Amino acid sequence: MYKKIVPQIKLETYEKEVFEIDLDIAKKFGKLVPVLQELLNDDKPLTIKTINSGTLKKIITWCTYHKDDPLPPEDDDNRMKHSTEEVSSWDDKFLQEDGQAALFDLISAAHTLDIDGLLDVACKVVATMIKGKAPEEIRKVFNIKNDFTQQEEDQVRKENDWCED
Amino acid sequence: MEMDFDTCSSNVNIDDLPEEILEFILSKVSPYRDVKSCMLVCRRWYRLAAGVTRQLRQTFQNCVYESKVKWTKIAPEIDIIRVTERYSHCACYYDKSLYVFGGCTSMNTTFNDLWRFDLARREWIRPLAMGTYPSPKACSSMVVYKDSLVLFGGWSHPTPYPLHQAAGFFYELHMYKPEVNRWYLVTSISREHPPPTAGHSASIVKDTMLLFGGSSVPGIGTNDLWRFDFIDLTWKKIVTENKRPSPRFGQTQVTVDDQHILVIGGCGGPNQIFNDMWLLSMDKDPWEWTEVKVNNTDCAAPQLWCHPACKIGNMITVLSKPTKSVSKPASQPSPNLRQVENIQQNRVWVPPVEREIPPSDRGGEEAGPSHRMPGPSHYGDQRYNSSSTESDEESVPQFKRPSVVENDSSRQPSQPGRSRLQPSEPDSKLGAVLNYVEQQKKLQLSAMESTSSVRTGSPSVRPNANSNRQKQLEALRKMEEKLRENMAQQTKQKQTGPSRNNEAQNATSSRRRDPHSQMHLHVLDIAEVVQGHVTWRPIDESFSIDAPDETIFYSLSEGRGELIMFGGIQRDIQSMQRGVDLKSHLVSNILYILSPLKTSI
Repeated sequence: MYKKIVPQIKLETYEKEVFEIDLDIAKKFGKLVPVLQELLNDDKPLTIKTINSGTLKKIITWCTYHKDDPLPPEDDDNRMKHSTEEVSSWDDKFLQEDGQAALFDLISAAHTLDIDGLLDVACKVVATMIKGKAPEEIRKVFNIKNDFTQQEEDQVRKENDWCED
Repeated sequence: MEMDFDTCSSNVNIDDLPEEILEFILSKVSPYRDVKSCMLVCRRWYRLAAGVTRQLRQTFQNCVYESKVKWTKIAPEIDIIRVTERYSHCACYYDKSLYVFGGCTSMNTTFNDLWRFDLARREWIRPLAMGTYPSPKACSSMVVYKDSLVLFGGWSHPTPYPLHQAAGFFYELHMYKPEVNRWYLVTSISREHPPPTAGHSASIVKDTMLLFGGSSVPGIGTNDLWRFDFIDLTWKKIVTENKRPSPRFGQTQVTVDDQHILVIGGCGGPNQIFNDMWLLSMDKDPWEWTEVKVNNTDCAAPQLWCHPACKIGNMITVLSKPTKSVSKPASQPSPNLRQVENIQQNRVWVPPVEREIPPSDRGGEEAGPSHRMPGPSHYGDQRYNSSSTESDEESVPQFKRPSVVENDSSRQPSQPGRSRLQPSEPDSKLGAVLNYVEQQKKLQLSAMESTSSVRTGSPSVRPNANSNRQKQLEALRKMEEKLRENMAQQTKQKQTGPSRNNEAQNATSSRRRDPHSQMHLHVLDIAEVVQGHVTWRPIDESFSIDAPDETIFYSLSEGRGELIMFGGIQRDIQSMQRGVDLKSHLVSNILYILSPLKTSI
């Protein structure tokens, strides 16, 4: 039987399911970079209790799809820019197809594992959900309770949101 | 083996996400429209969104201070009504939009159309305003006073027929109120008012608009100061102490505070390009002009008269190609690798080292003397004199040009493409070396300063994410190579192709273009202008793919956490030399957004 010649590491999820991940993919997990060498030599899987199998599967799929993307910038260049750059339609569909809860799981996991690209694009998808909506609509979409008093809300409404000089 | 991660996995709701992530998401919504809605969602969102806004402002100012900006090009879509190419138009920011009025083309057209660029939706809208429209004009001034855009003066191309008509100058004052989409012609009740003027500068101080300089006759400037009072609708000519700036047009004027305005550069007529700066103090009686001392002129924008400037906080920003020639990137061995080393060793970002090119190497650009705008655009001892007069120079730098006379008049060959460049004296080699050493010192220093200044505004989102990452990846790459080799030997298979790292590096270096004629952000620190001195900041000379080539008579305005450049005319030397008539293509209708490049270090 054909055996791949790429080095792999093993990860165990919350459900105790073990995943074999190509090193090329695992390198995108910033949090794992320091221990990758160790993992390569070790046959035992690394247990990450906080990530469930479904989420890890999605992460692997996403990272595989984006395997050949250009490397991220060396410094923090494009980290926090508020950008109008579009999310690709593949990403948009892929990230939204399992519903909000799955998306937030994914964001949380991307944050935990420190996967810049995924975190960035997933947060952009959430920002797109906010785009052009009134406060009441945003609350509805994300199921958020309004804890402002009427007085506070009026105050915020009156406030200058940028303090233009 | 187990790793301890601090976050839990089950997030059903957006509110279960850690604060820093929600903050990260909010940093990605439009600051023009959506941030306000987010603030109104709930207390937690209000707190985070307010923080994000503060951070965005701070980051923007820090990046401008370092001249680290990213250019994004927005060309108008073809299938919808599109804004026409133009230059010498006027523009200002008001209520989440950029308003653009008038301007002209290089042919016979002057405009009186009004356009609005919606900054949240990033699209052009043409409000069909009611009321009394202004005449078509260019080189007017437009400033925001309360809920109105205040338009004054300007100039228009003469009508093509009959021939040899004089260009028109205007003294009308119009106000446009966006809320009601209507133009108003304002008639002053005072007997005196400014003469028809174009190329003047204007800014708002409390309830007045101050107007300085400009010209009423093509090519001749004035140094009069006028004040329009919005409360009682009167014009008044202000008499100041004897000393005042020489007559000029095409300068930039900003309001520093309620008591001071600053006038920068301008042009005084044939071969009189000014780089001087004057502060008007209104707390004295009579008002008093003082010339401001300009420090660090090595980094100054080369010309301060056809490059409109914009005030950002305590800084003045100007777009222009760099004065100094920039090194050829190809001669640097693997610049990327070196940057990585720098980051690892110092954790201080140092701008890429630029090599001084001997004057003889600059040929390409300077070889086209017949197509340069006049003026001391070259490094030389006289560059920072307040004026430089060349008696044998026949060209007249005029921002207004009756194009009809273009072909028959040798006295007024004022078209940018026709003026002659004064041959410049080459720098001595020693001078160049010393210059280079100085430059390096400054760059290092500024890098250190900027690091500390950015810290305060650096985002709280995962600040240490990249620390040591490079080192670890490097070690990993080595190990991986070893592993691959071993495995390849085992399976008797040969590995082909270079590693991805190398490919990426090759791609980066091949994308580089010569940044010689590219627009860069020049920044003047005016924090201490009232004390009598200002300082040019070192510019970031790195190349940016989207930045346009040298353009003049553009407009530059401040939006939310970004600068907006629109229109202008390009001095496309190469196509002019080739004799290709690209006139209409040289005038731009492209909008550029300059946003923070570096958000944390």
